[in-house]
Amino acid sequence: MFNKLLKKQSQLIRATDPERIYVENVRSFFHLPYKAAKVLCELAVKEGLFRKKYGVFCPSCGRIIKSYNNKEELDDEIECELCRDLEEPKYIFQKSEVEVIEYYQLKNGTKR
Amino acid sequence: MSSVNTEKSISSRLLEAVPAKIIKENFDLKGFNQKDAISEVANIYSQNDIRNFVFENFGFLHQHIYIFDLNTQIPQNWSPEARFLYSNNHDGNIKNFNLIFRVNFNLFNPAAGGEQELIFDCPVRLTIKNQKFILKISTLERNVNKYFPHQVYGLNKNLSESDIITLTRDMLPAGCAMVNSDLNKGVKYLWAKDFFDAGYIKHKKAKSIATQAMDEDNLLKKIYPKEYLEIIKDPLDRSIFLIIDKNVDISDYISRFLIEPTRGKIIITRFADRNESVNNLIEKILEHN
Repeated sequence: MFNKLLKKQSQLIRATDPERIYVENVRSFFHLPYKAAKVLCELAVKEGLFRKKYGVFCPSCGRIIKSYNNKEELDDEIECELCRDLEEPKYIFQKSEVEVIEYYQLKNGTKR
Repeated sequence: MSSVNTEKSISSRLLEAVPAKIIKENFDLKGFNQKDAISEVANIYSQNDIRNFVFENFGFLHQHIYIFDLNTQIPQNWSPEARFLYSNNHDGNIKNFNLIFRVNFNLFNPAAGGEQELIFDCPVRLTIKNQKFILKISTLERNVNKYFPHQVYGLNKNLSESDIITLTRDMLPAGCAMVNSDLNKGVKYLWAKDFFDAGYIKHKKAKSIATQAMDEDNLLKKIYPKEYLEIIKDPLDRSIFLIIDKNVDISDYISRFLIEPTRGKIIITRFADRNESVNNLIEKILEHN
């Protein structure tokens, strides 16, 4: 299966943003169950193809406010600048209030 | 008058609209924190001194700006109603009227055993230039709990922004009417020229409204150039733009702002670096509109 990923890597990258590869992108591309797609992404990290990132969702507007290399780096307070501009009553969130999504990036130097 | 509504308390709340840095510089209060600086100024200076100071520094305030088109020139001798007019400073063919609206917040204060009022001075600047009628309304603190050591519950306020607009509209001379300016042309021109790019876009498609909230610091035109070309065909709704033009000093403008081009509304939620920055932005959009 991993060979299949390597073979179709360039197609996958063309179909997605190499800076933001979500498990769902891989799942829908290979028509796999979610768990298998996740395993595939983790294998790509081990093989040095992908880098794993953690994106913090804004509980209000739903975008990713900030990304981290690991969960331990998450700031205690995270400000959503768009929500501040939109005059939302709340735009600063505690670490405990936010959802984190895992995504992957194509590592620099990986052939497209 | 309740102790939360003495003239000094009202002046203190008015001063909170101004960045602490400007208060400290103007009143020579180096080393003071914001709260102490405001308290010092409210204790020493009169209500009129403080109102004058706020209007002199109006460009630094968080504000909601409404731009209207007039159907005809306003007579030279026209002036807003005396009960709201505080002062004016005209500059050539630009007329600036400084208005004060008293806004009463009604709240439930359990410690006082009932309802209570919290009074704010709401400074408004009305600018008339040619047939543009520009209303800049300073945004008020919305968290009334800030003024009490215990929890209170906001109920309502006697005067909303739309009331202020209606009152101002009603002051116009007979035969003179105003409609919201459509700023789509000016905004799209500056977007096309990469003066700014969008962090958030809401646009009206034929049969739906679409929103794009860009992740992190990404900007729409840079990341999705093809989608940008589709979006600019539509009327723009609430959108956030960030100035990106490397050939301009961003502090001459406001670095980021919310705009509703179809309604002629601009919302400033950041303190400007310069007193004239907000006006520069308005002029820039109108110049290309």
